[in-house]
Amino acid sequence: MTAPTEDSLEGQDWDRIIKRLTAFAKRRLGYRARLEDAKDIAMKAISQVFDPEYRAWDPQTCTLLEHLRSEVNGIVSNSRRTRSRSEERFFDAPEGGDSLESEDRTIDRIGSSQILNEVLDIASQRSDENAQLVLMEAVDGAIAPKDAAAKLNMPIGRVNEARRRLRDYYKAVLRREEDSHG
Amino acid sequence: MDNKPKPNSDETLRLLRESLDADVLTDAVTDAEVDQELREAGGDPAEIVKQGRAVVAQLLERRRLAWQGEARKKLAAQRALLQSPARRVERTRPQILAEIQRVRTDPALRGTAAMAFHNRKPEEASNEELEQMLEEFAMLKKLSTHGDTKDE
Repeated sequence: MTAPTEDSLEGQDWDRIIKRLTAFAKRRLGYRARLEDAKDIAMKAISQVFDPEYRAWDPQTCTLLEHLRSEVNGIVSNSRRTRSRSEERFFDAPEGGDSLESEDRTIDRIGSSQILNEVLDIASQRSDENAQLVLMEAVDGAIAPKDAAAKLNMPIGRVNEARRRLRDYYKAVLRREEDSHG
Repeated sequence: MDNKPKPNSDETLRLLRESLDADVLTDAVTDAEVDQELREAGGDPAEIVKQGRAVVAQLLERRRLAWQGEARKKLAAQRALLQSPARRVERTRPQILAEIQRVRTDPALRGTAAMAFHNRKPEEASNEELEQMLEEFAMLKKLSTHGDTKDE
């Protein structure tokens, strides 16, 4: 028998995966979501890797975390669709069930274009030139950090820092809107 | 010139949100920052890992047992096939002993065959016993090869 490798499920750094995937699921669900829901989603995504009924992870094409990223996105999207369908029949959202779609509703109300402009305004007010550049490249289609770094000829570390601030600015716009509309 | 159509703002915002969220899966966010984020969300990173590892351990064990179950089914099917009168090839005792000699030194069996005859001479066993052993060694070799390749 061979020793576990990074390409095998046994050889993974599960501590790192569990924590980061839970944090990712929490981010995907939105700041109002319960961490328990994020934990459930992260563990469901991990369970799917072991289940032959679901898409198999191919270590030749991506890392396990990259595979799990798409599994989490799939679970969150399905959850959004399910809740959206249930809203067609029931106007009252279930208790604690408003976190997923509250962000979507806010975006629908303000409009994506307006939100992107407001994020750009915050970056501009803070004289955050790198965040402005990274955002404009994203609008131009260079969304992945490595694409933005290549187009801007900027070190990836600086792009990542700018992205971190962009995320904060985006959250600030969302929170302000959500708070002002209850 | 780039002729690719620019994504509309809805699509841009959707992709950007997902991409910025996914930074937490990369080294763009440090382990300490991940822990901090989990704490701010009301969680205990150590407890999250503990609970998650328990689930993963169960999943790994179930997977291991499923593989063993599959191997057992194959072994039973193979035995049934080998024991069917139509498939059994009659060998002479010298042929059986020569085959035993060959598997005793087969590196794929990693000494298992040699160990089986550690305190015993093949000549002391009946033809039926030796045939049974050869079947088991053949299956061991298959399982060993499968175990080496299943995670590759």
